[in-house]
Amino acid sequence: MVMASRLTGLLARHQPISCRGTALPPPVLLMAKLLSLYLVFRKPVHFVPFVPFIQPLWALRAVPGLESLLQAALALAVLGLWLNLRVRACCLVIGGLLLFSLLADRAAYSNHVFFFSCAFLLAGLSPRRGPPRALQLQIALVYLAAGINKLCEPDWRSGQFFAFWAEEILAAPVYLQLRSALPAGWLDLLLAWSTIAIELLLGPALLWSRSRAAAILLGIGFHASILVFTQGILSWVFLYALPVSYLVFARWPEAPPRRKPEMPGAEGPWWAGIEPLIRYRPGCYLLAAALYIAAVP
Amino acid sequence: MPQRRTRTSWRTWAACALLSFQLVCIVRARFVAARYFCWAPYDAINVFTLQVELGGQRLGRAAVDHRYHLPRRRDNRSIQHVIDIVSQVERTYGRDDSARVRLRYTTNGGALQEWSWPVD
Repeated sequence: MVMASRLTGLLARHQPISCRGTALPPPVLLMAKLLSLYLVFRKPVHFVPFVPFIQPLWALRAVPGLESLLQAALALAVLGLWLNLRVRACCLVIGGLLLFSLLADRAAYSNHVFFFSCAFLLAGLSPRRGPPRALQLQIALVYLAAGINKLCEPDWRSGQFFAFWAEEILAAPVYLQLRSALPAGWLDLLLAWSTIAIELLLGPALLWSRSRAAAILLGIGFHASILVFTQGILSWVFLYALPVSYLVFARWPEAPPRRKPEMPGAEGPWWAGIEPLIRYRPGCYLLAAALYIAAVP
Repeated sequence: MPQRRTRTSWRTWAACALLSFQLVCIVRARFVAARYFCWAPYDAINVFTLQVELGGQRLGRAAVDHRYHLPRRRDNRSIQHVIDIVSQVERTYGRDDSARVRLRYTTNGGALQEWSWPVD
């Protein structure tokens, strides 16, 4: 009897869907699991140095089996994360390996791998209790920096970037139709400056509690609109990764809320009991993530 | 009773270091052409061609792709990234090849520009 209850407790603590009872706050662990899902199934990385940012890394090319060794380390860290074993260390290992893959080859440099790396590293460094401030700052910094970079580019300020990208590269039919209906250059300027404004706004809005909910909706809408505008070319990974990272702004209750038994004659909206379950049950997020990843072309 | 000063944990210092590194890169991006680690996706659309000659023989597309690990002829951050890759390959792996490289590119549909290796 005692053995059975111990076994049950062990299984409950280490089941992949569970995000409680670990060294990380539940939303941070859930974010890490969701990001690792995308990493494993959609964005594999490689570790053999080619043209490294740090020259001494070039010598590691001679290490036999380096790629296999580091892939095995990554796989073990992801497995440990999912089984809720040493989750902080697993996050640090995953983040460190991703950072290594970036530093080892500038030809493979990409912003999404850098984002994944920072998210895992800061998840591993986040406090057990309290809001993960560094992670929240990281997400805000991504948007703020992107907005500042664009603001400092003359071709973005003049709309030239959009004019070239939408017409020559994307040949977006909706854009071309709209552009012909408006005075010359207006649509390019509108799209360019609205992108800059949204990115500059999202960073601070996510950090301020009063505007956070609206900022999260705006962020999801922003990334979804990019995907629609580019006809599915950009950016499946950021449409996934950034909204997933918004979980770190969530206040997770100590225990998931239970549905109250319905009182006879009581009426309420049909979703009233479902909504808190969806919000605080990691299984729902994991299922949604799995469906998204399966749908990505 | 004097209050105990709480020590900042190593985790906090490490997180601050990572965020500070990014801030430095963001500021640095204002003064250099490269856009590494500063969150600048799609700042510029650079469309380019690469011509590589080894011993008077021009390399085909597949050979150029393999030499520089650049399968695409477009970079969406900065052309400096392509220049850095080509330069580093020629300084290291291709040190003894005496390759001549000509990179032709446009940025956001602007004027055609050129860069070559060896740098004159």
